[in-house]
Amino acid sequence: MNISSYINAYGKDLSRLCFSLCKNRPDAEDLYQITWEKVLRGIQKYDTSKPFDKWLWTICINAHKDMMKNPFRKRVIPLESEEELEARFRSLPQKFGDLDEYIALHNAVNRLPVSKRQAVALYYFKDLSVSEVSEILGVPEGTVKSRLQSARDFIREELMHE
Amino acid sequence: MNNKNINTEEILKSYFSHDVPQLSFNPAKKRSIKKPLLAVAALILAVLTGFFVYAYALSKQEPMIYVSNSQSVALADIPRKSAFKLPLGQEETPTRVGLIRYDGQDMVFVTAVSKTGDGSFLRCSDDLCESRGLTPEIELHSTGEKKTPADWVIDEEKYRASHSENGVFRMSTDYGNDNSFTIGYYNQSKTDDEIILTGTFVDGTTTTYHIDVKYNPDASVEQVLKLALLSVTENTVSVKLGDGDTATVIVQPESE
Repeated sequence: MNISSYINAYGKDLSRLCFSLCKNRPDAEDLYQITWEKVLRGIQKYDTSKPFDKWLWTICINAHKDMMKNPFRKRVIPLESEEELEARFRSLPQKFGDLDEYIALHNAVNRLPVSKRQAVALYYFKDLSVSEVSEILGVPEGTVKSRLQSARDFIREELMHE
Repeated sequence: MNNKNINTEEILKSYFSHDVPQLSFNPAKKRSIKKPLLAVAALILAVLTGFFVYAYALSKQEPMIYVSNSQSVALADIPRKSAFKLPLGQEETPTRVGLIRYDGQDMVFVTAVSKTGDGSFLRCSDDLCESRGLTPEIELHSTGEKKTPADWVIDEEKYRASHSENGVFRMSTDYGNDNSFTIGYYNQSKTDDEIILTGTFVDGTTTTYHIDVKYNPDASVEQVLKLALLSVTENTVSVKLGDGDTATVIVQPESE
C-alpha cells in the first residue's frame, strides 16, 4: 500500500481530526501536511500488524503537540464567518438547538485547553474508546477520563452562561 | 442555553461529527526547511544586534590614539578612521588636539595649543611616551612653568590675533628631560587659501615637517584642529577637519 492509498483511505478522517484539534483552517491544513510528511518519513517503521489509523492519529496528535509548543507558530485568530459556521451547523447529522447555540458550543470548544481538546477530539470524532485514546495520547486511562469529564464540565458551564 | 439538562455527551458527539472539507497533502512542499531558516535568521539577527550594540558602546568611549609600540608599528598597520579620532571636546582637557605626525620611525604624535598660546603639548600613546622616557607634562617657553595636559585650553582669540597680525603662530615648547626632546613649533601663515603648518621635531636626530592643510577661514580653531585620521600612506596623512572638510596632510621629513 503506497502513500496515495493511505491518503485516499484515511484522508477524510484525518482532515476531521485536524479540524477538531485546530481552531482555524490554516492550522488544520498545516497539521494535515505535517502529519503526512511524518508518515512518509516514518513509513518504514510502521508495524503492519497494528492498525494504521491508530498510528496515524498518534502521529497527528504528536505533531499537534509540537505545533502548539513551537514558539515561531503563527498566532492566527479564527475569523470564521457566520456563513461558514452555519454551513457546518447544517452538516450535523443530529440537530440540536439553533445556530446561536452551535456558535456558543464552537466558541466553548475553542476555549478548551490543548490537552482536554485533544482528548475530546479523539474520543468523539471517531468514537474511539478511552483505552484507544489513552494509547494514542500516551497517558493513563484515568487521565483520559479525567480530562474528558473536565472538558464536559467546562463545556456545560460555558453553555449555561450563554 | 438555559436548559439545565444539557447533554454534553450528545452535543460533543454531534459537534465533532460535522462535515469538513477534504484537506490536501502536497509531497513537494518542504515545510521542514522553515525551522532551520528561522534559526539561522535569528542567529544572524542576534549577531547583528550584538555588533551594533558593541559599535555603539565603542562610539561612546573616549576617542584615543592607539600606537602600541613605537619601534614595531608600521604606518601601514595603523588602524584607520575612527580609531584615530583625536580626543577633542573633553571638558577637562580640551586642548589635547593637534596634528598627527610621522617621523619616519613609525611614530604618531598629537600636539595642541596652550592656554597662553606660547607652547604646545605633545600627546602620544602612553607606552610610546614611556619608551621615549617622556612624561605627560610640558614646560612653557615664557615662564618655565610645567603644565599637565589638563591645564591646556584653546585660546581662539589669541590664535586669531596671532594669525592675522603676523601670519605666524608660535606654539612650540621644549619638552622632556635635558632638552633632549623638543616638539618644535608651528609656523602658521596664510598663503592664498592654505595654512601652512610647519613643525620641527627633534629627538636625537632632528627632523622637520612641513604640513599643508586646506585653510578654512570660517572654521574655528577647534574645528581646524579637530582632525580625524582617515588614511595614512608613507608620506601623507588624510584627515577630516572638524568642519567636515577633508584635507590631506603631507608629511615631508627634512634633516637639518
